[in-house]
Amino acid sequence: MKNIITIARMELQKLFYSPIAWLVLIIFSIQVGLEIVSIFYKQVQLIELGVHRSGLTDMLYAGRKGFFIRIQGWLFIYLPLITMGLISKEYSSGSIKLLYSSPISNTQIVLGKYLAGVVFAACMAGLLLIAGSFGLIAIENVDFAQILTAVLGLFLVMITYVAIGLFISALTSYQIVAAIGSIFTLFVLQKTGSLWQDIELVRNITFWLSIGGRANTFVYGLICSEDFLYFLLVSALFLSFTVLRLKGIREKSHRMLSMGRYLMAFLIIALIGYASTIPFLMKYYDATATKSNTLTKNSQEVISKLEGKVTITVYANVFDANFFSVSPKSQVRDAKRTWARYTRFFPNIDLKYKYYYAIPVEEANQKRFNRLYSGMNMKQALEKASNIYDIDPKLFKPADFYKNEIDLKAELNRCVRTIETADGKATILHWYNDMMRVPSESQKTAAFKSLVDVLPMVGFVEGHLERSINDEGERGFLAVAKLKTFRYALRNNGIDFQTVDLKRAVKSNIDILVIAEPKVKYNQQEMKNLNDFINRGGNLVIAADRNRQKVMNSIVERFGVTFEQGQVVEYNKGNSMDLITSEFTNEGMKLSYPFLESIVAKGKTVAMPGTVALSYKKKEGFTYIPVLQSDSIKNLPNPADIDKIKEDYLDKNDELSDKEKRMLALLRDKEKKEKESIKYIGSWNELKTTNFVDDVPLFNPEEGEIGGAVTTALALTRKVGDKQQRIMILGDADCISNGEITRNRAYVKADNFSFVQGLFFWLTNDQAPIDMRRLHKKDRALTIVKDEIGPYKFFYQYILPALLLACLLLIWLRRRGR
Amino acid sequence: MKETLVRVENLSHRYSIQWAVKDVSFEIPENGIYGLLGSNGAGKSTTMNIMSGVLKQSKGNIYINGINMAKDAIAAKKQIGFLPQKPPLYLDTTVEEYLINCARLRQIPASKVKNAVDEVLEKCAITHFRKRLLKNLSGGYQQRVGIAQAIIHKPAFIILDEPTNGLDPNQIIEIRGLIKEIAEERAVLLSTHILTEVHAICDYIYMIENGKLVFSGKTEEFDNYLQPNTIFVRLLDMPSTADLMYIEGVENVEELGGPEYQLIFSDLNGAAERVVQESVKNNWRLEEIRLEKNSLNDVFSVLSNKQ
Repeated sequence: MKNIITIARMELQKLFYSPIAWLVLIIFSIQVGLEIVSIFYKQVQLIELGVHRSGLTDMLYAGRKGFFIRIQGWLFIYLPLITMGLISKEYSSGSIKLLYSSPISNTQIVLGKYLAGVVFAACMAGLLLIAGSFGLIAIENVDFAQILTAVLGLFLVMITYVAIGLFISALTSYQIVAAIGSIFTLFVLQKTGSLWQDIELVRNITFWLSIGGRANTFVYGLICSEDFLYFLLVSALFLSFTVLRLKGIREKSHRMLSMGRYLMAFLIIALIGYASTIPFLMKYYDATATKSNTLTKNSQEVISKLEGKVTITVYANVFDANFFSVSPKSQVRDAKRTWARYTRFFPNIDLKYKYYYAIPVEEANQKRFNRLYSGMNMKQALEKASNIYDIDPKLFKPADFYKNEIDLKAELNRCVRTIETADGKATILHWYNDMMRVPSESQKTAAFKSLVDVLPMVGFVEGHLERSINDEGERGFLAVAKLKTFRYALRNNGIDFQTVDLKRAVKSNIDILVIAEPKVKYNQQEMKNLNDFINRGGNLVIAADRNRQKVMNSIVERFGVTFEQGQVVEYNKGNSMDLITSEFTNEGMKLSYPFLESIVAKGKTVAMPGTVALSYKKKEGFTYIPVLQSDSIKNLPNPADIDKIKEDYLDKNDELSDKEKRMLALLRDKEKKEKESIKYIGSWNELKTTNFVDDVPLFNPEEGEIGGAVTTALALTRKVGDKQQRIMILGDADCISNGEITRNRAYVKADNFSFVQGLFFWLTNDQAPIDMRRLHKKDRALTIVKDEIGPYKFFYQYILPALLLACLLLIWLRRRGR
Repeated sequence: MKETLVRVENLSHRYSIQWAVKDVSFEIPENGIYGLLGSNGAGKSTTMNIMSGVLKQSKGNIYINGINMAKDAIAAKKQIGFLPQKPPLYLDTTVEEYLINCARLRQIPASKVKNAVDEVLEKCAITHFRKRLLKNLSGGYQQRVGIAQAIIHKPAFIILDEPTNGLDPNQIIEIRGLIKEIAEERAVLLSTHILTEVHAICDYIYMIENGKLVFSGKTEEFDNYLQPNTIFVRLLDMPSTADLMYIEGVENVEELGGPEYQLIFSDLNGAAERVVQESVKNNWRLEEIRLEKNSLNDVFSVLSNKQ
C-alpha cells in the first residue's frame, strides 16, 4: 500500500504542478456553477409564478433535466484529459523505466496511478457536493441523503472512467491518442446497452456492460449492489487489463498466451458481474427520505406471500401500439423497469417473452393497423412490421399458436402479461389507454394479490334495468368495473366483481353489492334476498338518480333514508344548474384517504349531474355520516335579475362543438370574474323546473324546496357481529358511471375516479385499491426568492472557479522561477 | 562462501522472432567499473534492461547477491540502481521533489529520506540546484540527477546505460569522475560504445555482439586481445616491395610513402631480427624500426566481425 500511495503522490504532484488538472477543474466548476444556478433560477421563477411542486430535491437534482443527470452526460469528456498522460507520458519520457527498475510490482504501479485518478475524481465530486449543498441552503427540508447518494454515483462513474482511461493510456505513448481513444471508448460504452439487444445470448452481457445511465439509480437515491459492483468490476476489469498490458511490455510472451490472459480477466470479471445481477444476491439501500425507490409496505406485504417460482409471460402483438416497450430489443430494459422493485423482494421471478401477430381488435389499434399496413395481406404486414422493428419475422407466431395458454382475442389482441404461480394460479396484467400506459405499482401489486389472497368481491345487481357493467355508454359501469384498458377499473386494482340477480340469494362470497338506479321495483323475494344480504352485514352501494325516487325509496327506507323528490340544483359557474359539484363534509372526507388526499386536498369536487337530495331519520344501530353535499346558500339572485342569470346559465350553444364550448366558457369565465360582485352561491332541492336548457330555476322555499347544503351522498355504518357494515347511499348513479369518471368540464374541478377509488377503499375495509401512499415529500418550497439568488450565482459562477484559478496561479508563480 | 555480486546465467531474450540476447553468461564478482561494450543493436541495452528488471528475460537467470531476479524481482531490485540511456526524470518537479519520490520508490524509510536526498545531492554536486525544476537543468546536470536517483538507496550494483551520451567534453569528464567515485563502494556496469571511455574508467570489459558475449576480461586483456603483426621500417635505400616480400614471414608490404614501409607478418617471432639482418645484407640503410601495436578500434572491429 505504501508503494501505491507513493506512486499516487508522485502522479498527483505531476498533475497539479502542471496546469492541466487545474484547467480541467476550473472548466468543470464553471459548468457546475452554470448548471446549478440556472436550474434553481428557473425553479425560483416557477414558484414566483405560482407553480408549486413537492419533491424539489428529486426534481432539481435527479429529474429529467436535473443537475446530476445533466452533469453525468459530460463526465466522459473531462476524465480522459486527466488519464491520457498517466502512463503514456511515462512511455514517451522514458520515466517508465524508473518505475520498472524500482522494487514495485506492475499492480502497484497501476493501482498507484489509479489512486491518483481517483483522488482527482474526488476533487470533481467535491465540486458536485458543493453544488449539491446549494440544496441545503435553498430547499426547505431538502433530501440531502439523495444528493449524497447521487454524488457517490457520479463519483463511481468517474473512477470507472479513470480505470478505462488508464488502460487506454497504457496502450500508446501519444497522450493525444490516449485522450481521443478514451473519449471514444467511453462513448462506445455509453451506447453498448443498445447493442445486439435482439440477440438472446448477448443482450444481457451488452446491457450489463453499458455505462450509460448506470449512475441513475444512485441519482434517484437508491444504492443497488448490482450497480455499485458494476462500477467496481468494470474498474477492476480495466485495471487488470492495464496490469496485463504493462506485463506484456516487460515480458514477451506468445500472442495467444497474452490474449488468453485478457480473456481470463474478462471472464472472471464477467462471472462476478453475472453473479451480481442474480436477484437473490442483490442488496439495496434506499437513501431517500420517503423511500421512493422501494415498494410500499403494502406491496411488500403482498409480495411476501408469494411462494415458489412466479412466471411472468409477455404476449406481445407486433401490431399493437405498445409492442415497442417489450420488443426483443427492449426486453432487458422492460424487465428492469417493470420488475426490478419486485425482484428486490421476491427474486424468484422468471420472465418470458412470447411474440405473436394478429389484427388488433380495438378500434383505435385497428385504425392504426389499417393505416400502416393498408392493402397488405397478413404475411406482408408482418414482414413490414418486422422490418420496422428489425426483427426476424420468424419470431412471431399467429395468435392461435398460444391458444392453449391464453385467449388473446379476449385480450383484444393487445400486448398483455400473464402472471402465474407455481401452483397454477394465474392473472393478467394489462397496458392501459392513458398517458402512462404501463401498469404502476398499484396495478402490479393488485395482480400479485389476486394470486395470493381472496379479493374483495363486488356484486353488481342486474335484472331491473340497473346500470350495467357491460354497458359501454355514458351511463354504464363498464369502466368502473371491468374495462381492461382503464387503469382505475376495479379489476385492475385488486377487486373482483360479478353480476348478481336478486331473484336468488346473494352468494356468500359477495362482500359488496352495488344497486344502481333500478327502474323497476324489486319484488318481495328479491327484497328478501337483499335484506338477507344486508342483515348478514354485507356492504352496499345504493345509487339513485332523478325520477327514480319511488323505486329506490323502497330500498333505502329500512335505513330511515329518503331520496327527496325533485333534484338538486346549484349555481355553478356557467355550467347547467343541474350539475352539482358536491363537496365533502368534514366527517365524510375522513372516511377514505383518496377523498381527503386526492380530492379535498386538491380543491376538487365530485360531479353529480341530476342528483337527488338525501334526507334521513336516524334508526337505531346505524351511524349516519353525510359525505357529500351541495353548496350552502350565500348569495341568491333577486328574481328580477332572472334574465341576466339566464345569460350565464342557459346553454345556447348546442350547435357548437365541445371544444368551441370550452373556448366560449373560458371567455365567459373572464367576463364573470369582472362581474364578481354578482356571483351567486346557493343550492336547493328544485321541485318545479325540469328543463335546465331553456329555463333557470329559482329558489322557492314556499313551495317546499329545501335550500342550503343538501346531502348528496350519505354513509351508514353499524356493527354486525365482529365487523362494521358499511353502506354508501348516493343521490346520483352518474357520478360513478363511464361518462363522469372520465369527463373534463370547463370550470369544474371534479375527480370522480378518485371518488370511486375512495368509495371502494372504504367499502372493502381499506383493502383495495391497495394503499400505495408513501411518506409525503416535505421538500416543497425554496427558501430563497429570485432577488436573493444573485450572491449564490456570484459564488458558483465566479468565486469558485476564481479560487481554483488562484490556486493554479499561485503554483505557477511559485514554481516559475525555479 | 561469499556470494558473487551479480551472476548472469545463460541469458537470452527474444523480441518477436529475433533473439536480441542469446545465451550470455558472465559474473560481476566485486566492486569496480565494468564496461559493457558492443556496437549499436548488439544487445547492450536489452541486457541492461533485463538486469535492471525493466524487461523480463525469455530464458536464463540473473542473480543479484544470490537473489534470482526472475523469482523475487522486488528483493533483487532493492539492490540495483539503474540509469537508462535517457534519464527517467519528471521534468515538472524540482530536483529535490524528484529525489524524494525516488527515495520513496526505493523504499527508503520515511525518516531517512531527507538524509538520503541530501547525501546524493552532495555526492552528485547538485545541492545548489535542489529547488530547481528538472526541465530547467542542463543535460549534464539532468544526467547527474539521473545518477543520483540510481544511487539514492545505496544499491550494491548500479547499471548505467551510456551515461555520458550527449554530454560535452567537460561534462563527460565530470560524470566519469563521479562514476569512479561511486564505484569505490559498489559495482558499476556501464554500457558505452566510446572505447576511450572504456579505457579511461573501466576495470573490466564485457563485449556483446549480435546478442552474444564475445569478450570478457580486464581492460588490459582487451587491449592485448590482438597480437601485434606489423613492423614499421624506414629504409633510406628504398628497396622495392618485391625485395621486401622476400623476407621470411612477410605476408604483405605497404608503402607509406618515401622510405617508410609497413611490413605485415604472419608471426612476429624473430621478425624484427630478420628485417635487420636482411637490411644489413642488402645495405638498405635501416634508419628506424618499431613494432606497431593494435588499437582499441582494431580490437573492437575484430571482435565485432567475429560473429
